[in-house]
Amino acid sequence: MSEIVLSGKGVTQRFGGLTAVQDVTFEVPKGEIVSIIGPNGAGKSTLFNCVTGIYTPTEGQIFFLGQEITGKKVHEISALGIGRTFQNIRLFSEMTALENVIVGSHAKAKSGIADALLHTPRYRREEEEAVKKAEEILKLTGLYEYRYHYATALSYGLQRRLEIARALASDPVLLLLDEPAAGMNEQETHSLTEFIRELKGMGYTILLIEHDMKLIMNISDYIYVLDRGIPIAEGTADEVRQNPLVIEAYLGKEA
Amino acid sequence: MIRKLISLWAKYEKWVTLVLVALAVLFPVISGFNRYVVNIGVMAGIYAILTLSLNMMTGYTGVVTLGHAAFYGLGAYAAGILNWRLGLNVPLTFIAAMVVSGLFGLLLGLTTLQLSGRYLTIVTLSFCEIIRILLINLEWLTRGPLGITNIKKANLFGFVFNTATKNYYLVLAMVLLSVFIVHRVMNSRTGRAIIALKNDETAASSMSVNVFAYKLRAFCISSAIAGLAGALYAHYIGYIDPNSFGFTQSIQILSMGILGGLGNIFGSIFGAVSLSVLPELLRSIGLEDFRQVIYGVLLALLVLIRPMGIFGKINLRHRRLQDSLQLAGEGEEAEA
Ligand SMILES: Nc1ncnc2c1ncn2[C@@H]1O[C@H](COP(=O)(O)OP(=O)(O)OP(=O)(O)O)[C@@H](O)[C@H]1O
Ligand SMILES: [Mg+2]
Repeated sequence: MSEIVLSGKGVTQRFGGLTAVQDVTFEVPKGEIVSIIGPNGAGKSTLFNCVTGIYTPTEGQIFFLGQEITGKKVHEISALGIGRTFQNIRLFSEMTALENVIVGSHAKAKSGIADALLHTPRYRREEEEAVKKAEEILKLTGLYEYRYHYATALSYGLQRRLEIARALASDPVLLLLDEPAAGMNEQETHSLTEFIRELKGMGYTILLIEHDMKLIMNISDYIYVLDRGIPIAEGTADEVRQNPLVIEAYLGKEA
Repeated sequence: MIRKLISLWAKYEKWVTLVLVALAVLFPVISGFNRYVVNIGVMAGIYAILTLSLNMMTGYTGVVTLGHAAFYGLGAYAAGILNWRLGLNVPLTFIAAMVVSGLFGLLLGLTTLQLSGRYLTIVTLSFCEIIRILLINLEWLTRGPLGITNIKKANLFGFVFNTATKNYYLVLAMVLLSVFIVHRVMNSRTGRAIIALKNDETAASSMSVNVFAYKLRAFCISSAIAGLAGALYAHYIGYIDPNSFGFTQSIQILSMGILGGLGNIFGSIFGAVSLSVLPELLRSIGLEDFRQVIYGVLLALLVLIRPMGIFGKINLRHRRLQDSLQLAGEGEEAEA
C-alpha cells in the first residue's frame, strides 16, 4: 500500500445547530487524485477549511504526512506543504499576477526586515530566486504573458488558473483544489483537466472538489461523496456512479 | 492623458525624484532663508514623516488609525524627558524616541491586533486618549499639564541646530531616512506579505504568511517612525505638552495621508506638505477665517473625484512593467 499523505478520522464540524461535516473519515494516498463530491451545501468546502486550519474541527483528527495537524494555525499548516485554491477566488488585488505567485512562495524564503533594509546577499538571492521560480510557474500554467497584469484584471478563467499557480509556488506536497472549473467553459475545463493530470504526473497529490462530473469521473482515482455533511459513499468513479445513494442524493428522492 | 503622464513619470521616476529632492534641498535658499517660510518647511517635514509612518499602518497594512498622535507624543516625551532630566541629546534621544514609540506600538499590537478592522480603529482612538491622560497624570515624570519646557535644540556631537534652516536640513535628512525605510521594507518579502494580508487575510495565511506577526512588524515600524517625528518636534519647538498630541492631531495626520493617497510614498509627502502649506497660504491672502469651509469643500471634492486620494493606487513600478510589455507588443494594460 502506498504512503498516506493526508487523512481524517471522524472529522465533524458544527456551526451552532448545523452540522456541516459529520464524522467524515478519509485518506489521500501519495500521488493520487482524490475527489470530494456532493450537492451544494454538502460540507465539501468546510472539510477543506478543517484541513487547512481555517476551522478547528469540533471533533475528529486530521493527519498530514503522519503528523497530527488538528488545531494548528492556517499559516503553519500551509508551511508544512499544503497548497490550496479557493472556491470564491481570493487573489491579492493590488498585486500583479507575478507578485501573487511570489507570495505563494513565502514559506520558502527567510529574509526579514533587516535583509530588506540592507539588501543583504540573502535578500538579493531570495528575490532573484522567487521571481525566477514564479516566472517558471506562470509559464507552466500558461499565464506568463499576463505576469504584470493586476490579478483582478484577468478574466475569470485565468484568475482560477492563477489561484493554482499561486498554490504551486510553495512546492506543496498536497494540493487542495476547490471547484477549479467553476465558471469555465467546456474548452477551458478540458484544458484544466489535462493540466490537473499533468500535475499528477509531476508527483503532486491532489484533493479535489468539483461539480463537473465529467471532469471528476475522468481523473479521480478515488471519490468520497458527502450529502448534508454525511459521507454517503466512496469508491472509484465506476463504483460511485452506480451507487443508488449517490444517484438519490443528486437527483432527489422522487427520482 | 493622465495615464500618459503617469507613464512618463514612471519612465523617468529617478529623475523626477532627483529634481524633487534637489528642490527640497534648495528650498531654504529659494525662500531667501526667510525664517517664517523655512519654519513652515520644518513642520511640513515633520508631518511628512508622520504621514509616511501612518501610511505604513493604514495605507499598506490596512489598519485605519485614529490615534497616531499617541506615537508622535510618546516619541516627543521620550526625547523631551531624556533631555530635561539627563541632558541627553541627538542621536541618543532620537533612538530612544523610536524605541519607546516602537515598544508601545508592539504592546498595542500584541494586545489588540487580533481584533478586526473597525474595532481596532476604535482601540487606536482610545489608546491615544489613554496616552494623553497618562501624560497629564504622571506628573513626576512628565510635569503633567505644564508640559516640559526648555528642551535643548538638537546637538549632534557639538553641532547645534540652532536656526530654522539647520533644523530644516535635519528634518529633511530624517524624511529621506523614513522614505528609505518604508520603500525598502515594502519592496521585499515582508512588504509583499503585508500587502497580501491587507488584500485578503485568509488567502495570505493560506500562503504561510503569519498575519499577526506581519501586522505586528508593520505596527512597530510605523510607531517607531512616528516617534522619530516626535523627537524632532520636541528638540525643534523646545516645549511639549500633552494636548499637542491628542485626537485633533491624529485627525490631522490621517487627513494628510488620505488626501495624498494611502499606500503611496509620494502621496504621503504630498499630503503632508500641502496641508501644512495651505493654512499659511490662506493666512497670507487673508482667508484664514474661511479655513474650515475651504477644507470642507476640498475634502468633498476629493471624495467625489478621487476617493482613493490624489496619488492613491498609483504604482509606478507596476506601470513601468506594464508599459514594458506594451512596447514589446505583449499584452494589454491592466490598470486597476
Ligand atoms: N462559517 C460558517 N458558519 C455557519 N455555517 C457555515 C459556515 N461555513 C459553512 N456553513 C454552512 O455549512 C454548510 C456546508 O457549506 P459548504 O460551503 O462546506 O458546502 P459545499 O459542499 O462546499 O457547497 P458548494 O458546493 O455550494 O460549495 C452550508 O449549509 C453552509 O451554509
Ligand atoms: Mg464549496
